[in-house]
Amino acid sequence: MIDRWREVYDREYPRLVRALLAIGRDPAAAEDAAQEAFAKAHRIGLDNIEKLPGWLLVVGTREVFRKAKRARREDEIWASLPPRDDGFDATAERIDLLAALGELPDRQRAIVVARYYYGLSYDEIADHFDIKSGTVGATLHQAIERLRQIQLAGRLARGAMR
Amino acid sequence: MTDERHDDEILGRALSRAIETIDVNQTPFEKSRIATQPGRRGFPLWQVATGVAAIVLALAIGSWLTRPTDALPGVAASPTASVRATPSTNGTPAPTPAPTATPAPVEIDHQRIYFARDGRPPVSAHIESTGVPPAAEPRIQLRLSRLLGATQVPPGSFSAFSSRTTVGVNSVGVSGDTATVDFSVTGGDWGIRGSAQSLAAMQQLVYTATEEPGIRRVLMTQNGGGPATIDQIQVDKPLAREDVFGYSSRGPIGKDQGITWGGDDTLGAVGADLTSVVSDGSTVRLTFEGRSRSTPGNPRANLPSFEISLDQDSETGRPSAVAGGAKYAVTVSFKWNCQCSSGGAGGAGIYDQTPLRAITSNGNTAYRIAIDDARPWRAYMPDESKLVVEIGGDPRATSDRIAMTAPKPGDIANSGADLTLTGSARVFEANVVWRLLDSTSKVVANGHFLTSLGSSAMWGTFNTRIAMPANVRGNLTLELYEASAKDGSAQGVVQIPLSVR
Repeated sequence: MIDRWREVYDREYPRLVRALLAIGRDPAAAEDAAQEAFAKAHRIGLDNIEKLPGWLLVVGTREVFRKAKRARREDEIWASLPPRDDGFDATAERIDLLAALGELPDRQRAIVVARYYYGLSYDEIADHFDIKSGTVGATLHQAIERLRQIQLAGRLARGAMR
Repeated sequence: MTDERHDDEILGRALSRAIETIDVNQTPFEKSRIATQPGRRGFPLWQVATGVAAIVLALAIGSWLTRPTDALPGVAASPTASVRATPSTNGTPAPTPAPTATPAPVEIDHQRIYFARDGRPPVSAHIESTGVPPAAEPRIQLRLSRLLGATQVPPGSFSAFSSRTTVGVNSVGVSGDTATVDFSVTGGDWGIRGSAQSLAAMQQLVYTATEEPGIRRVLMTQNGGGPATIDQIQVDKPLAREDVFGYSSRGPIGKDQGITWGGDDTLGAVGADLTSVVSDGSTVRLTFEGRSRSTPGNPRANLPSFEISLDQDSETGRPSAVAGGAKYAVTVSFKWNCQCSSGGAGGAGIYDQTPLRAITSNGNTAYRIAIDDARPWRAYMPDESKLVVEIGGDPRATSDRIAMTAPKPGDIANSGADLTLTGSARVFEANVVWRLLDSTSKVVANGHFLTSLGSSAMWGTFNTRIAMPANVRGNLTLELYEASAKDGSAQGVVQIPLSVR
């Protein structure tokens, strides 16, 4: 049984921490939440959970949002980081995207990560995040549109500093 | 697919790739919660002092794109430590018998090492070892080696160190009350990942190193003198137990910070019995009752005046026949209002249950409670004849002015039903403010209530019911605090995570 858990853990843990870090932007909270999600899954049992990756993501996301207050405080540190060296455009773009993601409302951020990083279907997202399946597409589109705007603004700002 | 949807997918995939480039700590399976502590509750983040949290975050972000892949900790043969667990560390506090009043040559057990716990201060366990060295330095080294090589942990606790850790102790030096310990750390990697595990490791090391009598602080270095760097936490100064114990503040120390209380001094020969000592591994609750010593049957009587204070104790300057001291001691002294002798049989009881080590008393007017660290303490009186002295508590539920006993962190509450809050507080005009926050930190309900006593040296108690709003479910946080008389800001906040169904 332990071997089966080890396999699941080795496969899913890094992806889960990355997703939770993208959603919550707090490394300590992301790790903590990921560990907690696995601990909960362990208590419930592998055989009792359908579609484990999505389940872990949702449980982990809830844990991360519990620390939302803390994360907000740390946002200030994030914001005060110096702008990236513009010699690394690809890197800068990735950072831009992650930073833009961070500006979305909590729920949109979680749904975007669930859809594009975890590849969950609209129905799964609707199910896990307790929203109407008809609104998933609209919410995603709205979020992506907003991401695009923020990212563009970031690029313009970087361009202006050159 | 529409063009719009197609564009969204492209950006979504770019985002997915960006997330994939985030470098994260990969806590190995052996260190994961499912491998170390099946069934335990989540390790909260209270241990992370604000400054440390900021450093961890800044480092983590700074290293997103530069951090090399973490090497797995190596494997090495390690000594086996046999661990005997004390006390009961979870569930309901178990009543502990009061110490006997018979003098006995008793000593505190210092062959103890410490393990970490979820959201609570570390707990100690006895280690069997033969041939304990006669000097402090090798004794400290022995305890730390046993800690690093421990293969068993007491129930309800865990170790941040794998029994296969390659971390060892190079050298130990002692100067005054400070020990300097240099660790050998292969490649500078302690094999510990994440802030929760790092803090747990720090607690275990600091508590175990300072278990040596007379040692209050430890300076930890690695590989010949560089600052010890456990994952992202760098240690650059000697640490005392209070630096890592997880409470938001120390207990008030010194006579002038203690509680002096005027009781009923009209009754003559009234002393105090220690009627119960309850310890749950984080909290010690002592109940004293006034008893008439001059009436047959020693009936209950109003307590005379008394003083309570927390002071540093001496672990080395006491005759062993009267029990060794501990790092700190809470003294409770009752006034004796009779011209006659206060009598009482001197005695000591050894508990050796974190944080309670020993109680020495004359069984009548003077009690000295030896404890492991300067955790917050408080006192309240359920009635004129009864005094409760409470030391410690769950750090999440404990501040310098509020100590909540129910609900406990992680408890389940019912949406739309009443929730009973109990505890004690010492706040301005006895007014405690509460608010319930949802997972996005939005206030979904709030209010205030009065404790039994306000603005006095003695703490007041509360036992009140609040209505949980209907239709609010999930992970909520109940906050209690004192609204500052000056600007209304929240002071002495305690935060209890609740699961509302």
